[in-house]
Amino acid sequence: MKSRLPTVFLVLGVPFILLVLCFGFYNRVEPRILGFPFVYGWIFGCLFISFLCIGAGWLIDPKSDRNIRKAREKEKTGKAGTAA
Amino acid sequence: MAVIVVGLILGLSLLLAVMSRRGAIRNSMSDIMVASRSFGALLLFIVAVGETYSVGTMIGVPGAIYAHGASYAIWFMGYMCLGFSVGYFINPMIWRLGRLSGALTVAEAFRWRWGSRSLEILIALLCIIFLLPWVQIQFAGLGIIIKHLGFDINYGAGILTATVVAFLYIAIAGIRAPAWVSLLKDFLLLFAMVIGGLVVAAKFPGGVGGIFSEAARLFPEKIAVETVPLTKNVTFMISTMIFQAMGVCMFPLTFQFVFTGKSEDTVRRNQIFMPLYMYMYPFLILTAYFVLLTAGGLSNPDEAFMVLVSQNLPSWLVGMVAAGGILTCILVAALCSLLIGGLLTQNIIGLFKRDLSSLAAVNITRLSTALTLFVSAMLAIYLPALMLGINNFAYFGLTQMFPAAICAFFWSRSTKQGVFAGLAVGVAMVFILVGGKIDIWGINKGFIALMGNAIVTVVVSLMTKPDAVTEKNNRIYREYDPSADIRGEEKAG
Repeated sequence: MKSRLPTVFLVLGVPFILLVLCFGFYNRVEPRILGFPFVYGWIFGCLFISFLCIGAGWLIDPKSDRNIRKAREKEKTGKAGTAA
Repeated sequence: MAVIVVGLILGLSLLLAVMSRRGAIRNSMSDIMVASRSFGALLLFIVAVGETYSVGTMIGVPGAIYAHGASYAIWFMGYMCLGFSVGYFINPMIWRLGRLSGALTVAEAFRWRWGSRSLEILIALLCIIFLLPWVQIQFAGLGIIIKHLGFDINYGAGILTATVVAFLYIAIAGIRAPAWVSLLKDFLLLFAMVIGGLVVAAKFPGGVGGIFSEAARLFPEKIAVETVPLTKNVTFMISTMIFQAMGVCMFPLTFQFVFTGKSEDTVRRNQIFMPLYMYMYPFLILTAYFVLLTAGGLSNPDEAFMVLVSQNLPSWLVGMVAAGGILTCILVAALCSLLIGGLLTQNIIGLFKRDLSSLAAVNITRLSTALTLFVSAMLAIYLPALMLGINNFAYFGLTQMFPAAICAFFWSRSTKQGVFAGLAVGVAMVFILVGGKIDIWGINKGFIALMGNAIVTVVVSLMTKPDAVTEKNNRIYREYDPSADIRGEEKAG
């Protein structure tokens, strides 16, 4: 099976870096984002990035149904590849 | 007017509950507790959202921001957002554990993994003790909503009516009823918060920008987090964020919704969309600052949102918003009580009386659900408390299951003695830290207990040896092939 590390990084790593590690950076009022203080604007942005990252993480997750199925089809057609 | 709207919506919710019975299997414990593990992606999402956003969101979040400012908003949003990420990995594993063990409750899933009855009882007790206050805050929230409904209803009578409705959901269709009622509830809740936010933005001179400029001038300490000294806010906020992100997956309600899913991948996909629902927070945050500016000095900060609603909306809209809140309270209270009822029946009473028939188990579950509702309603009437405190307390205890879960999924060498000792130490530390009001650099108390818990789990596990049952079930867990389930589904479809 392919490595799950890229999925872990996307799904868990990116939101963690943005929300926890960047705290010192985003904890400020200016510049405003749509009228909201920067700190809120940042977190609202993180929500959408989280959504994108979890989605992308799932697309490349070797454990998702679709990727297991793909791997199996590959195997059937004789090419190298291992199912879970 | 407001009261009529609330009444109509409650009636509608009961109708939904009756409709949800379609496809249900009568008098089956599995159907009542986990809907026979039949929920596909859409229903699963609805239940997940339904149990995640309790009345704490509508009432508690603005209350906390009103009282404490930005640091609370950041950890609320931060922990939930991170929790969805953690759940992406943990929830499918929980599902697998549930599937293989046939568990209906969280306690059974853990018992199966290590073949330990005492662990089952410990976990059942832990869940019951730390979930009861969660039901209680639902009723406390209900009390606040009723108070601002603009109609003189007795607080006690209101809460008792709510317990009856909550019980009816469960009696009608087990976990299926809250699932379907969630649809109505989430729509109304979302509607309520968006309306609140929009009204505020329209009313205040300068709109969103105006509110925050004014707030920055009058309450600079509430608009960004004070970082000096570090131990005042920052250590608590960051440690709580990380701690509760782990806790989200360990909430017994999470286990329950995960168990209703059809497959590992359904559960996994569900997490993708969860962060999007959080876009109601901007509206809530707006309302909190608006009330801070226009109605300072509320004796109970939890009333902030309802003060805004009752002072600024026409009566029928107040009714819709209140109905959303009330439905949320009832629904989450119903789900939690069903869970506590299930734990009592399956894991505590079932222990003394091993040969319960399915019908008897179902009836005892209903009875204990009713009892739970009644006890927590009484608690809410006689022991009012701030939501924030209870939210923290519930997480302190429930998150202590996290090391056990990690051991179950990843660590073959873990033993039942280790997990039991770790849990016991973790919970004991929670009580000591909270009871003794011990504060270490402002770090979340549950987080400190969790560290002790993890260390004890590892040390005791290494000192003991996994027994035969543990090794067998560990092997079964590891060798489970989800693709075999995919094939099964294709055949069936």
